[in-house]
Amino acid sequence: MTQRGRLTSILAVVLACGIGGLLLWSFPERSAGGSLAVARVGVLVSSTGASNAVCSIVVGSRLFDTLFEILVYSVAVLGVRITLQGGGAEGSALTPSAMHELAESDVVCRSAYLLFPPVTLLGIYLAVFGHVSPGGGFSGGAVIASGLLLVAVAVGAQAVARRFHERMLERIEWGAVAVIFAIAAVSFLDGVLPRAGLFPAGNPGELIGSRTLLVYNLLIAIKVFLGGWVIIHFFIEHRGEI
Amino acid sequence: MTIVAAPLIHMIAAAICLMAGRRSRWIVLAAWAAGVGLLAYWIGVFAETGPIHETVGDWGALGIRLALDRPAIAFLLLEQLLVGAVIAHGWRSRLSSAFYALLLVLAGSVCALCMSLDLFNMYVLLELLTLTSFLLVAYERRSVQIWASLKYLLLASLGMSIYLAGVALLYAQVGSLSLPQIGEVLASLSPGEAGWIPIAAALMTAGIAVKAGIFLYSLWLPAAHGSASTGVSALLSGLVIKMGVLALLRLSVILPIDHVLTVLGVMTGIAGALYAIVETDAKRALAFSTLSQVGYLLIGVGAATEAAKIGVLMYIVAHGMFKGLLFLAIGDAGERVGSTEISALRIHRREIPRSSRVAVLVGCAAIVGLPFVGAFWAKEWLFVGSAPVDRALLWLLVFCTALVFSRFLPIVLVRGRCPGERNKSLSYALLGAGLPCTFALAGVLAPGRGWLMGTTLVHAAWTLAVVAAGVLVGTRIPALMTLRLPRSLFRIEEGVVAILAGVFLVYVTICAGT
Amino acid sequence: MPPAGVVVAIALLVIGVCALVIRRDLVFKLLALGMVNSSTILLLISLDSRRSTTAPIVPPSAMAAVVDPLPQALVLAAIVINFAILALALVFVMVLAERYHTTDAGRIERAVAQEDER
Repeated sequence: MTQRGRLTSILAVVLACGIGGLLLWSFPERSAGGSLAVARVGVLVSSTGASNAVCSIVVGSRLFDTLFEILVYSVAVLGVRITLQGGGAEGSALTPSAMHELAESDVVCRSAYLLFPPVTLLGIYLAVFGHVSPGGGFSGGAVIASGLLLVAVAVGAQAVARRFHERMLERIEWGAVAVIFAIAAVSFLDGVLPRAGLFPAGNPGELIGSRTLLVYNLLIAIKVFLGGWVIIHFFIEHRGEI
Repeated sequence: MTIVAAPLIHMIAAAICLMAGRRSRWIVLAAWAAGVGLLAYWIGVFAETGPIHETVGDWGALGIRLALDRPAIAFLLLEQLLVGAVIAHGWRSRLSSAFYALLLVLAGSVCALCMSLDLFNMYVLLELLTLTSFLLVAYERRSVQIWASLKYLLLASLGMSIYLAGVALLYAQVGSLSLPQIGEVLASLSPGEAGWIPIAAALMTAGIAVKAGIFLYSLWLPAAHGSASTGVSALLSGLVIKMGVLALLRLSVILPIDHVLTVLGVMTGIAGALYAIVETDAKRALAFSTLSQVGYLLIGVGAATEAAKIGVLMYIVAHGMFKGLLFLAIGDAGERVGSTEISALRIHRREIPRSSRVAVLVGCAAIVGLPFVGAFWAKEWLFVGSAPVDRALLWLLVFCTALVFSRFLPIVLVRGRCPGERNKSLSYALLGAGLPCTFALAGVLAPGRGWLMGTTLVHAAWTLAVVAAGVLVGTRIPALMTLRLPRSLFRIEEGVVAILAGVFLVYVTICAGT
Repeated sequence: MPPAGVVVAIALLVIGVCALVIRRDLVFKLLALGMVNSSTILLLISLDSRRSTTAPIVPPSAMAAVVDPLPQALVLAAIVINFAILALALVFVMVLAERYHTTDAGRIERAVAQEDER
């Protein structure tokens, strides 16, 4: 390492430790939000009819954040796709090489196929029951995508990708985004969001009680699953190339 | 009608763009037209009833506060003008639907960010802006672009993490994320309880400063703005950078950072101007001059008077339009010539389309603030609103700006009849139309400005004198351009250290100020 | 003294920032960046960690002492954003590595500068 590099590193360590010390000194023993928690949860649960207060915030009172969070995810998927596959100004940024079909052994393949259905089921459960128990659209979608990742790593991404129509996936994914935004727009425009959204709220704990949250969670799960698959697919396809 | 309609329309249009995959430019045009319609409607409402406040999903005081106030109106106007110009500029370039979708997402997040009064909402939107501009910079996938945008992503993401740490501290102490509520709590704190405020303010200010084009924090800026394609640099320099300044403007209402912003403004203004003077590449010189112009804005925000704030808003709009115009025109000239080096542009100046040359001339005149053109009115408000010391600094910056732009004069002052493309001329005209827009904006933002008229003539005379001095020095003393300034500052490691040092700079300045 | 999670998060933040400067390899830099980003997530989520509290999910009958649900909801957004940033940055590092056959930040910087001058 050069003299200059060493100086920069030492400076960085000193400054970072200083900031860390200041932060440590200034954090309170108890967060001010903690004393509000019980009241907040009560209000949330009675307004949405969903017993998971976190989910009520994510796709309820702070839906305006979540909409852009969904877009962050979609933009990342779009970015991975146009950089690795092409579809932007030029073709793919990576020169295409012979596709590596790195299939694993037979035992691994079979157990991956065996594990895939229960993992998918778990993901769907997380999405559907997200508003009454721990879970939600994001985690559900991510679980399904990782189930598919398991299969893709085991038998090769190409074999899995053959079953999906690339262009179709993108259409469904952005279709889900458009529908989420449209539902949000309608509920914002009507001014009904301060209650439970597009559909009426029910009793806390019921699955069908807060249908709006259920719809959002399902759409988000579809979107996250498809987007996750696109990213995984491209990363697996280009593994071992560099 | 609810004010969240504007961002939602843009986002839905982006999704439709990617779903359809064809005729993207028409979808973008439709979304843009809808945005213009909404903006016109809201300006009407604003002129009648004043700022519009809205809370989205307010149960348990957890909703997101939005406001359509003066800054929001100014930014929406700028956004519509710049996006319109970029659409017109790229009309025949066969851009893909992915590009148009990213453009729409960028425009939509700007719409949402300019009305957001919620700290976490601002974080999400700033990150969305980072990601979209990251992809837009590297859109042509040249290595320079990819490397510049990777550096941008690393540093901006670090900055946003630091900002989020500051937000976490603020939330732990106050228990709220909405700016008006935090402001009320902070105002009621006794001095003994307020020891943590400088730290939270330092983290948040430094984090946003990375995105706002402030010297020492935004060392990624020249490479990213200088290497991006023409329309994208216009958008980044004119609009995206200003979103950081807007976030600082919002923060300065509740946190004691006025003094800090003045210090950062002086630093940014002078350093940016120095680098712009010695830069040999025209687009990078423009990027550095953006840094120095952010200096004006920060000094104005730091002055914390009503007049200065109006000046800042008008200057943001004026600078956004004319820096966009300059980036578009210089970019087109560079495409025709094959290089954006100033010397190359000067040699091949007869090949540059006439419309581009006129646009560069108008842009230069407007940016240095020649009397009764472009940024002149904004600067007048800034001057009236700031303290005498700041005024001297502002004159220094005017001088430096004139010096920088005097180097573009030889490129444009030539006869030649090389015709330009019609859609590009249209995009110049759209941005040039900003002139009456700033007048109209002054009417909306600051009704009853009669008391300024007395100072206008004096101000005009001063401006003329200072600009003439700057141009003279710029054209007569070429030795200035050969100054050697440190270049290794612009690497990732130095950038990170600069951000960390910047946190301490802000912290120490706040502590010294109180 | 703040909750233990907050202390750990601050320590991770400091280590991550140091690693971001000290390690010259881009892949390590991204790991460090991931660490910095995750540390802010840990910071947010452990703000209100206290003993004898439960998750803010209410069984229809009883409501015991629950933790603040807001940071937990914010963390979800932060996680998604970090994922997006790391995915995109990795793709770009892949492209650069393929073009220059190195992931060393200094070498790529020099190579890009040379290419730009030509």
